[in-house]
Amino acid sequence: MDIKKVMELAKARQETRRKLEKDPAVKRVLATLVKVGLLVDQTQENPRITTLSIRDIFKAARAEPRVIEVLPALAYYYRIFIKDDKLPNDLEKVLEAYRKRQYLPYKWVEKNHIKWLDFHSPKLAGRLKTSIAEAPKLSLQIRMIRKKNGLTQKEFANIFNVSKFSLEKIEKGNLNVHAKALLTIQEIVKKAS
Amino acid sequence: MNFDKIFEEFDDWLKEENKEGVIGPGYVTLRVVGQGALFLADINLKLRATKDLDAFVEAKHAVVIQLGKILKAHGLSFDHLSNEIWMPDETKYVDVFDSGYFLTVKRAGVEYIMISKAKMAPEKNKELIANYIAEGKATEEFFTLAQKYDIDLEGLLDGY
Repeated sequence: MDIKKVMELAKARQETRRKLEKDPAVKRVLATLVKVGLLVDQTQENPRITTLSIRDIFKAARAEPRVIEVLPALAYYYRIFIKDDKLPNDLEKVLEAYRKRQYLPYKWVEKNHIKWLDFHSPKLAGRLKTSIAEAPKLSLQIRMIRKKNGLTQKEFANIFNVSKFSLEKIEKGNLNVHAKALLTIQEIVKKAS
Repeated sequence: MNFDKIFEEFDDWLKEENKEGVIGPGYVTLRVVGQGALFLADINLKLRATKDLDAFVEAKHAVVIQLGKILKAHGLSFDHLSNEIWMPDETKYVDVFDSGYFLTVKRAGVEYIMISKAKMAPEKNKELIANYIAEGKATEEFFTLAQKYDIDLEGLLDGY
């Protein structure tokens, strides 16, 4: 083994990783995973949740491969934080199987390590679906989703890019708000259910 | 991860369970491996981890269950597949906690953890291994063991 060559490769790789970690999209992904409790990261001081695209998640996985390990759990428990309407097919298959309590491997994650789906059971997750099914009104549903994610109205509004004013109105049952805000809220409820 | 608090709680439980003497669980040694051991080693690398603790525990089933409960209360989980983790034969362990009562905790040396990761889960750990080597923390023993266990470090670190 050429140790000098190994050192050079390691340094080059670290440099690429550093650049990636400065990318705002990568920062958002890592911060969200820390905030929802799927990752521990010494460098995160005040992590915040934002909505993420699958593309950004995979970009972050180049800096921190563990992102791939916890992605099934993120998609299962926190679907509302993923912007994309459709998840990649292989990920969807893993989730479908898990709904039947079966385990499939995902990427390089072996099937007995799809364990974050089991281990990660946040307060909001199990109850969310049944609660939504019981709640007939959008206002109730969105309030439930927000509270079970432990978010204030301000935080929720920032994450999903709707005005706090519109969110307050919808939560009070007043749907006379900007159409875009209403559509966003409806989309969030749809995804969560 | 507040490991000291976790170990203290676990030791308190063992003290309580051992009140009656011989019928209790006795002494327990936890040998922490994996990412948890790196956190314990305080090696000044950029560490991220999933929220599980990998450790070898030789104890009665009830003791392992209790450890799982304590970890859960701290937002962590015990990896019940820990015993399947491969560590090199040369692995040396360092003491990290000893209350003087029933619990002793050791962690694997950093170079052995890195060898285990490079051998068994290279895809997941290549950034960490690059960080370890690039920061000049890799020891001579690490490179010797990499050769012994046929780990292709160049292949692992090449490309992005």
